[in-house]
Amino acid sequence: MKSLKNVVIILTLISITVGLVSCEKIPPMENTTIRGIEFTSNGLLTFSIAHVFGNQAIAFDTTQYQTITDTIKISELNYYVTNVTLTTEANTKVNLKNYDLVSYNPNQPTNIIVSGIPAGKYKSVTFLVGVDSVRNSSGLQTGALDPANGMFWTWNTGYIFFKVRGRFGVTGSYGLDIGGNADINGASNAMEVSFDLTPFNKTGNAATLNVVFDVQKLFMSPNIYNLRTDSNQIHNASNPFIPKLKQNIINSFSIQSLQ
Amino acid sequence: MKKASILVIYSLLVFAIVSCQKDEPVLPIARPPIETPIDTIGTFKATPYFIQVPFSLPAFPEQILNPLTVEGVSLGRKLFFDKILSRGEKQSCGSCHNQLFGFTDNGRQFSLGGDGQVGLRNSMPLFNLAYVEKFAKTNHRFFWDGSIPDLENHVLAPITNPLEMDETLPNVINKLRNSPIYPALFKKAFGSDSITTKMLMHAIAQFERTILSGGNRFDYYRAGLETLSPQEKRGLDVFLSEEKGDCFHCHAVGPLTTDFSFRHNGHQTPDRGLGAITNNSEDNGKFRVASLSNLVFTAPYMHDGRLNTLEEVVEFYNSGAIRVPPADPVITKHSNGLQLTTEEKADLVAFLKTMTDTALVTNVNFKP
Repeated sequence: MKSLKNVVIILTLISITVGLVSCEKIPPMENTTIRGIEFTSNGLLTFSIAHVFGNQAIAFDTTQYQTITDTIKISELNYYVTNVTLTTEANTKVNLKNYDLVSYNPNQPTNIIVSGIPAGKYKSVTFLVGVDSVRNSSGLQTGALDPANGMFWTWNTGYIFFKVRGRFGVTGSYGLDIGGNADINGASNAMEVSFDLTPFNKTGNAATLNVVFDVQKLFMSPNIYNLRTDSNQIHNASNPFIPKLKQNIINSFSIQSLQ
Repeated sequence: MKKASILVIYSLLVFAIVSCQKDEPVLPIARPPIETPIDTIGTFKATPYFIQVPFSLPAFPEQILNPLTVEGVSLGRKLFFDKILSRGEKQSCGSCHNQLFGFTDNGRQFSLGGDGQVGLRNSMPLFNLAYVEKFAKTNHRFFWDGSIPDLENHVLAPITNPLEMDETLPNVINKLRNSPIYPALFKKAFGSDSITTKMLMHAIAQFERTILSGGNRFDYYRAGLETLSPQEKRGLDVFLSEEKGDCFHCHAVGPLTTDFSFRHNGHQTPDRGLGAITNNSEDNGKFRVASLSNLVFTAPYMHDGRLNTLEEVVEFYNSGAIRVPPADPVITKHSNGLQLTTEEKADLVAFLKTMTDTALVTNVNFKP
């Protein structure tokens, strides 16, 4: 009898232990960690882009900036932001098919707004600095893609995706235009910028990504771009310095915060 | 007997069509209005333009995204001849594309810009351009170097080229918007008086698509309705002979006399041509194979206007071309030149002149 009692006690203890352990193994409630953006309905995403050189805001023409190789001034900074694409947790891509032209103006904030985002949880976002090949070769566009915006090579149909112009050294001037379809290696000249959203948590139907575009990185990182020895005038798709400049442009974008 | 009667009926039909073309002005035929699918215009409709196609030409390729309308063609024609498109209002498209010269530049080797800037290539004739879009096998279609794929887009280059009209697109659009006449004309053609670059491109492209040329003596000859002189026939034989002229590989026999390709014809030139567009060194020195119609109007010849007469052109292919790569295989295979006799060269020139359509330079629908 005593032994039976012991068995009961042991069995009870085992059950309790197993029960407790199982309790600990119950997965945490969903939604306690979002890791990304969860749009509740018809979401609206704003890219608020700050244009800086290192830690200074960019002013046109007057202010001098120091790259590793040159002293430069900036007089024009334009680029296309198109095809904003969000990726869900289940790796479904939602392309919002936007075509926006950023013409940086030191006196105005740069905001790009995409809307109509389906409800869901999104872990990353990408956009093209440039125009996709379909629109690029079909020409004849209006709005941000109107050739009159000056971001179009009229002698060889195709958009200029990214343009930065200014002066360097004592008398030099630079004009770096990247566009057209492919570079000398056959790679697309449209540059894909990609941001991981999982370090952030945001729920709602509107979110703002605070993005920085750093011209210092454009001339320094990961490649040093020397305006005296590399090309200081790029005006066609096949200039040999385009591949290294594209790497720098992509790297010049970074994400600061999500609100 | 049956065959003969069919032939007679056929001839009468062709004649009927041809007479219509030659005698009657082009009038819009009453058809229901069509939508012009320019952005934002919605349900706007304009009058369809009935294009009369010379009997020798293939079916006219309709452009679904920019259909010909009476209002659009008329606006395009007005713009084509208006100096408002150039900086300082010094030149129109028609300045360097003169109808009397087959829409080329008055016999000039290189065109001059508004301030006397000298261009780099010879002004190209403008006719049957709609067929370039129809038959070209790649996106390289317009200009000597094939830089532009469609007629809408080709409008922008001469307007903005510093060596040509040297104007900016925002200025052109502003001038048109502030003009006392153009907003109303754009509204008629595209349903809106807020003029855009796209409307400008569409209108001029529409007018240029209506410039057709066909029904020259050689076209009638192929239809059995015209005879060639013995000399012209001998010239045709030289044209068609692989051992002699060997012209037909690139200048296909037919109403268009080009295969729409880009080839290196054995010239020496620093101009990279198609190669500068594709960035492929194998394309260096390749240029559009030109049509051989209306050559009597369009001298000088070649991409850089280096040859002044048809005799010089024939002599170039006879003895002047460089017969090693990068020249085209059709050129290099004649390693000792064509070795045409003096008579054969004269015959060939006589034959080339049969492909002359005087209606091109007189048609009132192509005048300012």
